[in-house]
Amino acid sequence: MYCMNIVTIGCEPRVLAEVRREALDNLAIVDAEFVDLSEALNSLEADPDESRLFIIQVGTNTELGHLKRLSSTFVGHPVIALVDADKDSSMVVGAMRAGATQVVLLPFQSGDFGGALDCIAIQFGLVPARAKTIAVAGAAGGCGTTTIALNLAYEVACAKQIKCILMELSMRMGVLASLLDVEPRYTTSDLLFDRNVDSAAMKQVLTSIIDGFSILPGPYQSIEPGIIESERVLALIELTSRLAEVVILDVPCTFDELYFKTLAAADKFVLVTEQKVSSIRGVQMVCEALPNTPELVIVNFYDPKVQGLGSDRLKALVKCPNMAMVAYDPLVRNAGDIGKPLRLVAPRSRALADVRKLMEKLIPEELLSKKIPKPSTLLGRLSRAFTTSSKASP
Amino acid sequence: MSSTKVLHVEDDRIQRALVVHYLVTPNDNKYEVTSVESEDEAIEMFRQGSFDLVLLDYQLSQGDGLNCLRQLRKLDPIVPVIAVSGVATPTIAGELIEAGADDYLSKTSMDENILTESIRAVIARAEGVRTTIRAKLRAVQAR
Repeated sequence: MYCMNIVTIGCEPRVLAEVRREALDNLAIVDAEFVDLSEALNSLEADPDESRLFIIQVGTNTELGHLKRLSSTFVGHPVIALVDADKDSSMVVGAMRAGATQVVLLPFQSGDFGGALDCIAIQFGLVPARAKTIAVAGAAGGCGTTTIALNLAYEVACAKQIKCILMELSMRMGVLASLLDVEPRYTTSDLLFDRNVDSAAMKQVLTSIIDGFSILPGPYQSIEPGIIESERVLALIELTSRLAEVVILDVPCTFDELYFKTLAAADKFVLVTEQKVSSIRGVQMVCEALPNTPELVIVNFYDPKVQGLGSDRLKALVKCPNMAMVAYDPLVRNAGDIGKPLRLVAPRSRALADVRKLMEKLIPEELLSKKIPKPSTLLGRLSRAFTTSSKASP
Repeated sequence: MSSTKVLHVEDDRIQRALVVHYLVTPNDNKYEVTSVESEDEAIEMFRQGSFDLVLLDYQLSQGDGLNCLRQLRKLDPIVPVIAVSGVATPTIAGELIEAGADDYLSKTSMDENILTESIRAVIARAEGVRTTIRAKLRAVQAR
């Protein structure tokens, strides 16, 4: 994941669509799209301080000349040349000689574009962007932590189009796969004992649910034995955080070393509780044990009619200023039974409305207000052409 | 594995026998239950022995369950205390949370599974919290 502005030049519409998709997939933004080099040269200024990545499609000797001119004009900026080697394999060497930093072959191979970006990042000293990690942890068993984490992650991806990964940290037996009615090929336990896992491999093992939302569930077919090294799990979280904008960690209430270390390592953590003695005491104890305080305490299945444990009393008992309620709603159970997120089963449910409020509180403002790159439109191109011609005229 | 030492504070003879029945089985030393009948006895016994858990009746004829809980918390802020009451109400639950109870069970619905699951959960939590606090203290001392 790299925050760099991409400028495409001379890409065919089909290729351009793939570039946009690959860019989004790698969290890079297609900032400008030009039909040819002259249009790009007229519009862009050679500013070495601006972090730009040029992507140019090269298929002819004339286009190789364009590439050469581009790399000599924008010195110090990386250039990816898109080459259809099946048509002319000499274009690969030609593109390199003309100044391409990386060559990506057409048609796109899965992971190749990301690999080129990784290499450019190393060569140009770009620091990979890291996702915000939000740990959603149970304060007692049965508080509905996984349901909250799932619906929160799903909303982040759907409502805000923020690339999100949900990682279930139940190391022995998870429930996420059944809540979504999926049978993922890989689970966390497959990765824990393989020390060669890198971010590219991690990307392969994620299970995509919808565009922009993937999961890494806990084991769901059998109860996994053995001792889990917390450092290994934290390393997996770190790898996952390079593949999205937001990573939501579903942390079951094991109260072991992994539980506390995960909460301490996450950018933010929230504790899920309910109107019960055991879970409220759990919040108090976790808050006492950790050096950092929770971003929010979420009271799940909240029922305002429960006398003596209303919101004001709960706030006083928990001693956490930031508390949010998620209403008791039987539709939540229905959604779980069907194996779908609330958004798909009960889009107007009270619980989902509360989850959306959580999202607004938890997701950083810069992500919520980010501009979603839109495909270039005819109007946009005309507008750019008009601006270019205005600049050119005396 | 050493057995879990439970201090059971209960003035009702039948309830005491029932808890022993739930927790103590022949050829199994998982739990070691010590029963006392009053608040004063409970505090005295707790001071003397090292208990892993206290099972406390909310309504004691001699003394007050809530007051007993507050005193126990002064002696040990982390040891798990499970309060048991004839009728579990949210109002009592609020009082118990304030005083530091770890769980709250109703005598009418309590059975072996509910009791042992509650004990397992609160002991695991207390152990985790103790370990984390110790690590935090060690880190502070090392600085």
